[in-house]
Amino acid sequence: MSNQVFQFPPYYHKEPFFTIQPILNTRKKQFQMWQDLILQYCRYYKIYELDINESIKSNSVLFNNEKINRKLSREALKSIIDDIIENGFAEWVDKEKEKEKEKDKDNNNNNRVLIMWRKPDEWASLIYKWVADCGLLNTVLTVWEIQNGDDSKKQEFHQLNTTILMKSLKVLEKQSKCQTFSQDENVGVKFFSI
Amino acid sequence: MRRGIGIQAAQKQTQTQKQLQNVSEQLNTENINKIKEQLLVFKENLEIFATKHKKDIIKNPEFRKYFQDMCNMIGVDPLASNKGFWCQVLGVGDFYYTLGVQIIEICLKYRSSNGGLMEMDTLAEHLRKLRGKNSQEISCDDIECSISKLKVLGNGFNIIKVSGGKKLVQSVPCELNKDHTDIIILAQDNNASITQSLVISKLKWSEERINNVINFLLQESMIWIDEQSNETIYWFPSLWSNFSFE
Repeated sequence: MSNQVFQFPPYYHKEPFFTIQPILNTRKKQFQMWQDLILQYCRYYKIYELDINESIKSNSVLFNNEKINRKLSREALKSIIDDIIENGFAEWVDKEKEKEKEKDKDNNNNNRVLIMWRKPDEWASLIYKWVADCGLLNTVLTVWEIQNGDDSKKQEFHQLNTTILMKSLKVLEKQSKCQTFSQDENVGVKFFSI
Repeated sequence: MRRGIGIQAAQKQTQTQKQLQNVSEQLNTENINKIKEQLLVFKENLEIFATKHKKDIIKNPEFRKYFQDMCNMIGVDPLASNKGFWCQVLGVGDFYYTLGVQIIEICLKYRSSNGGLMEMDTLAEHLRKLRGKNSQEISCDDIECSISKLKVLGNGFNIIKVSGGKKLVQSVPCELNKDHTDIIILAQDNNASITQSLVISKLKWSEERINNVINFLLQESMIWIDEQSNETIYWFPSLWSNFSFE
């Protein structure tokens, strides 16, 4: 992982990919390609949050191809992110504040977006399977243990973003497979056998 | 006297006709039998030929083309029906029909990216990948032959000739007139892209004419816009040399 670099797909090196297409069908295809690229890139580097302004200002390689002298504009990236959110693979980090800001009609402050290159449902399945396989059903685990414990080092959800992890646990709660509770600043979770 | 003559004449005519019919039926029967015999001989010879050269026809695209040309000269279409000799004995029909299905599959897969246009060489490369390493060798002639059979299904598949002997496979049922073809040829010689100024300088067209063609091609997703240059550039994904949308 330390020496390897993400391999960009061939279309990343094609100039019109960085211009939002005016025709609906073409734009749909383009957004699909950008979504695939962003999700794959974030999955590869285990990135869970993107800051739109920061990415544009720092000329993140994901949105700026220097070889062909093309980069995504902030407006273009915003519309692509909106599309990814609509498809359920992303969420605004300041979602609750967003409602207040919408009242103020100030849309430029939506910067940070949560990238869910794997949806909470899938994380939930992985976590529950791991818990079951380790014989940890009907025991109490802390959220920290799931994220950072020695037992989960080899699991894909090791060092998983807290927000996404909590979403996953909510999914399991709805399925009556676990119960979360808080004590001071610690969050614990008990998993049940079905 | 008249009645007798009339009746006899009529009877004679009837007898004559019957005799003639018998003779002609005999002749027809003989001819048919001869033709059947010839067909049997032809079939036997074909089977012998097929036994000897079946593998060559299946494996050697050049041999296959000569075989095809020979059939065309004779006036036989080995692909017209799956029940014909050639299809049964040589498996040629299955080969081309399978190829046709694979061509459709590939064109559909990439239609949303390239607008339904694909270079013949690119299509051939995709076919090779799809068919795997152990499969038969495919030539562009095979692809053309298979596509010409797909036309029986109606509008949809077409082959457009562009400069340098290259060909584009069109898999959407829209009409490309000479203006569109000229633009494609121009783009081919310009790294798969065009600009308005390039078209004006090369083809001496009016702006209105250029805009009509460009708008059509944009609408069909055959070109993509690139606005991060001094002048707007229009790119043809179908003319990109690598597999850009894998």
